[in-house]
Amino acid sequence: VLVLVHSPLPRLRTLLQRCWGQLERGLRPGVFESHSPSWGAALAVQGPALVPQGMNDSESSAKAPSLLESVVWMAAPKHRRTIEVNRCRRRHPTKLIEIKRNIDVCPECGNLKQKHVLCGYCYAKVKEETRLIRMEIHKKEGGPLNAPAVETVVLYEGEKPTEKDEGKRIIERARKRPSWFVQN
Amino acid sequence: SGAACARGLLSWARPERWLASGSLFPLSCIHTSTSTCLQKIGKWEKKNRIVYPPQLPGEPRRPAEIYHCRREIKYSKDKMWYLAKLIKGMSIDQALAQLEFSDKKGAKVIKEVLLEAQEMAVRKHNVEFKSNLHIAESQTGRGRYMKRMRYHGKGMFGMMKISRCHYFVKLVEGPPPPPEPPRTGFEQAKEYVQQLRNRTLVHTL
Repeated sequence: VLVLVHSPLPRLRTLLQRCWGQLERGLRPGVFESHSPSWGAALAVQGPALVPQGMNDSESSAKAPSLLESVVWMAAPKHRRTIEVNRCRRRHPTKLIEIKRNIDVCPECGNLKQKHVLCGYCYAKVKEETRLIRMEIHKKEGGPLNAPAVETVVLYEGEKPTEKDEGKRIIERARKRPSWFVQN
Repeated sequence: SGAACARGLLSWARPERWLASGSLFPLSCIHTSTSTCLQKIGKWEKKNRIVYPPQLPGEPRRPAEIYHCRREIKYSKDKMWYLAKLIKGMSIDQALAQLEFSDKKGAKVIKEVLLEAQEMAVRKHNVEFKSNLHIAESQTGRGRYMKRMRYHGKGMFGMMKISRCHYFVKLVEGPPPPPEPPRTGFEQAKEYVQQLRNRTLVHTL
């Protein structure tokens, strides 16, 4: 909702109009990139004209005093860019998507992977297994802040704790050991 | 949206079977155009229906052509065009690899379309090897736009358009064609000289 300003003196009113116009242009130069034609042509008429409402001749002389008094000129396109010019810009080789040459095949699962990134499928597999291990840990601990001050060892079906795992906490998982999870 | 739903249904449903499924009586299968089809079947979908006469023994084998498209994708046609341009002329495996690691929203959609088309090719269009396909044409088209209000500050508003696009792809059996060598200056000069030589002189001896 716009603020209505009533000024008794005509000099104050013109000063206010000028200040308002400068304020708008100074504070909001970059908001209307997509809609600058509509803002400039259709909607800006309301802006400076609506502020000093209450004046009788504000509608008739809406554009003229603001254009004459405001010093700041905004850049605007002079001519329409033809579709040929637009196409030259949009289809320039720098704007086209480059083909990626860093795609390989993962030796473990055979899916595609980028050279400097972990294989998505293998990572998802490991993530799922980690989630199940964490659920087991959560069940064993029973609540928050119950983590023991010892190391944890994960044992799968048919595995016994060795003498190296003497003082460690043991987490049991009810499945066969996955091939990628190497036992120490 | 109902019309779009029907169109989406029609794009994957086999169009040849509409006559059999829509008719209750055997005689009414002649006129099913207005009763069963709610939306027009697009031109690209109809291209799969053309049947060539059997080839003569001496003719070279005509490679299989598979047309597939997806309608009313919620993406801009200009942005989709860059992906379509990336894929043009690649083999299907290379195209799938490039799309998998592209960050664009349309890449996921185009990948699904290519996989669907590959499966269609193997099942229905008598393609032997699913990797032996290359992309002959890939284009985008404008879908239905919706106009909505975009609210700015101070009670101002603008009208924005919510754009959708279609994506069309044509797969052809066989290895991809070799890329064209770029035109050299020598070739351009030769063409120019040839054009000068082709001129005919009128009203002379």
